[in-house]
Amino acid sequence: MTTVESRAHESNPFSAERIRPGALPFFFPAGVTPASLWEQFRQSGYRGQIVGPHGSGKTSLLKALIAGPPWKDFLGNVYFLRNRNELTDLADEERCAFKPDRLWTKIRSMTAGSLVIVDGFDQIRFAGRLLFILQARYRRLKFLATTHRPFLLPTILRLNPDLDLAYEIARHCLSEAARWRLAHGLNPINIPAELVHKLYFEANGNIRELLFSLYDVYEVCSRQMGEACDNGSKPYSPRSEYFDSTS
Amino acid sequence: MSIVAGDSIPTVILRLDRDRSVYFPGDTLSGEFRIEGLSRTAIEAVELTVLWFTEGKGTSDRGVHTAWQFLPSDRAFDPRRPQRFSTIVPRAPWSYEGIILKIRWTVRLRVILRGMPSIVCEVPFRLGDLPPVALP
Repeated sequence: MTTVESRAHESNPFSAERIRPGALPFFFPAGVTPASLWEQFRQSGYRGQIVGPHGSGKTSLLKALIAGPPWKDFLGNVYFLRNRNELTDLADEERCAFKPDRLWTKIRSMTAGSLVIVDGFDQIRFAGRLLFILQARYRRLKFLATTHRPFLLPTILRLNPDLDLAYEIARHCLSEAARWRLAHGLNPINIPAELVHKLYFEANGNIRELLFSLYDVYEVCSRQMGEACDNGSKPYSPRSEYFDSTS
Repeated sequence: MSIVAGDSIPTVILRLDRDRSVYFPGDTLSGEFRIEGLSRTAIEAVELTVLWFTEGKGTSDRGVHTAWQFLPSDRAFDPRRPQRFSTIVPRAPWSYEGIILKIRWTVRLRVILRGMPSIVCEVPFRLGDLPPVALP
């Protein structure tokens, strides 16, 4: 449900709740839009895969796609499967375990033309994936998967997060937090680009890991600015290599 | 303490009776809310919840201490007039300001509108007086 919310607490903009897929907008690569992806999916016979390494935003992309047109306008049933013991039928919120027997029961119940989205397809065993693809084809299901490595499906997008994307996400999170702080009479917290750069490479380009690191940095910054040290506890002295360039 | 959500119309006013935002187990937490600029017919329901939630690097957890629902169909409910609420503060969990985990308490008011986005506003409070965890 859509809400207009006035956040009462300051929260770390890199906390899990704020950066989970769906909470953070997906930053589409240049030239890629939900419409262009749908077109590519259509051209490949409604079979496709999104390939990308850990923390590259595959789940965020799926959430972004199914939340808006033209994907949202799809009139058939949509099944969103994730390997977290959850299977969500967006129409009726049905859930069941992501186990082979349940999966086959479920796929047999899907009507032709339904859209099946499997997030983390490579978490299913090789034979299971093969059977899944064959079943999907046999039942004329539209099938989109995310995976770390390509597997027998047309690749409609390969995600390669880079440093520019890291900056963009960090800037987005910080600017949202800054708006809250300014509205509440607090100075915004800035994290220098050099530090984002350093943490990005420490995380080997994994954006999720980078955001976790930025969570720690934000905690240090906010406490240094006195937000959480108002009980007289000793202020923290940050590691100098992190904050040499902090203005 | 009070929080006002909404720039002009509609306006939701949620207020706790105590100015000091620290409560201890067994204390009475009370306050009132009112909604201005909205007709009864525009409101589908109003939910008031006293809850805690976690925030940090892990998956968020939450628990509802108490909740009320106000329906416009109830003749006694007039959103323009102050609606009182009161509850006894539970024993746990205490508010906690850790580094990787925080536990926060809040009074949350959700005004569910017909055909429009809901309005949510919150008044935070602390349960207990645990000091923030200092960074190592």
